Amino acid sequence: MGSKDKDKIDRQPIAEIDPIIHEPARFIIMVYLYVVESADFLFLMRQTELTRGNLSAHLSKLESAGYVQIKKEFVEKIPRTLLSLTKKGRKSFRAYRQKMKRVLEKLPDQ
Amino acid sequence: MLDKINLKEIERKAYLSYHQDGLWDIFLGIFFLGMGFLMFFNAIYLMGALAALLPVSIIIKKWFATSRLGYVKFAPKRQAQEKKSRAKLTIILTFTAILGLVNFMAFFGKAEWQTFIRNLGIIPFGFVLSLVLGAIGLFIEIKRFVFYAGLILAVFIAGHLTNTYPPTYFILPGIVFLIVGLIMLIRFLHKYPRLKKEVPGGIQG
Repeated sequence: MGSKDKDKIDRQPIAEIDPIIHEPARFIIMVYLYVVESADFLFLMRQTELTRGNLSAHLSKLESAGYVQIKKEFVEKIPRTLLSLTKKGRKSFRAYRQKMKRVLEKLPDQ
Repeated sequence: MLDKINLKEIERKAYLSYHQDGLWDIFLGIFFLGMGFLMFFNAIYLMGALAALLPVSIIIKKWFATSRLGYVKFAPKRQAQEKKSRAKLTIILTFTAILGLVNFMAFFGKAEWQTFIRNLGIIPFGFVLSLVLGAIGLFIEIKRFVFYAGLILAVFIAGHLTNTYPPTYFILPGIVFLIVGLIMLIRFLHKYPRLKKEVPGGIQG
C-alpha cells in the first residue's frame, strides 16, 4: 500500500464529520437540546451564552438541516415556542460523537 | 465514556441552575423568622398562616425562574428521577409528620417516654425540622439545605443547653437563610438580567 493510499484512509474519518454540528456554537446548541426533551429560546440562550442574533442564525441552520424542530404549544396555558431535536438530529448527533471519538482516539500521544 | 459523563454534567448543571436564585432560601428565612416572631409575641396559633407561604412561594419561584432562565422540559430520565425523589420525599415527610405528632403527644401524659421528650424541650421539634430540610436537600439536590438542616439542629441543641430564649432558635437560622438567599438572588439577577424584548424576526421565544 502506497503512502498516498495510507493518507486517504487516515483522512476518511475526518472527512465524514458533520460540518453542520461541528461548528462550535451549533455543537453546543445540539448538546443542550440533546440532554433535554425540549426547551425555549431563552433557556438555550442562557445555557449556551450565545447572543440572541447568533443563536437565532444557528438555529435556522439546524432547522434547515432537519436537526431541530420548532413547535408552538401551550404549556400550562402559556403559549411557548419550543425547540427540540428531531429524530434525524439525535441520530446525527450520536453519529457525530462516535466519529469524533474515533478521530481523537487515533491521534498519537505527544 | 468521557463525553457521556460530560453530557450528564451539562444536564445536571442546567437542572441545578433553576435552584440558584436564592428564592427557596429567602422563603425559608421568612418562615423561620415568622416562627420566631410568632413565638416572641405568643401568637403561635398563627403558624397556619405561615404554612400558606408554601404554595405562594412555589408559584413565585416557578414564574421567576422561567422568566429569567427560560422554559425547559428535561429528558424522561430526569423526569422519572424527579418523580422517584418526590415519592421518597413524601414518605420521609409522612414519617416526620408522625414524629411531630409523637412529640406533640409527649406533652399530654406522664409515661417515661413522654417525660423524656418533654425534658428535651423543643429539640425534638428542631430535629423534625432538620430532618425535613435535610431530606429536601438530598432529594431535590439542593445540597446547602443539608447544611441548613445541620445548622438548625446545632442551634436547637446549643440553645437548649444554654437556656437561650426559644424564639432565637428560629430567628438565628432565619437570618442566616435570608442573608444567603439575598446574596444568591443578587448574584442570580446579575448573571441573568431581564432581557429586553426585540422586534420579532428569526427564531425567538
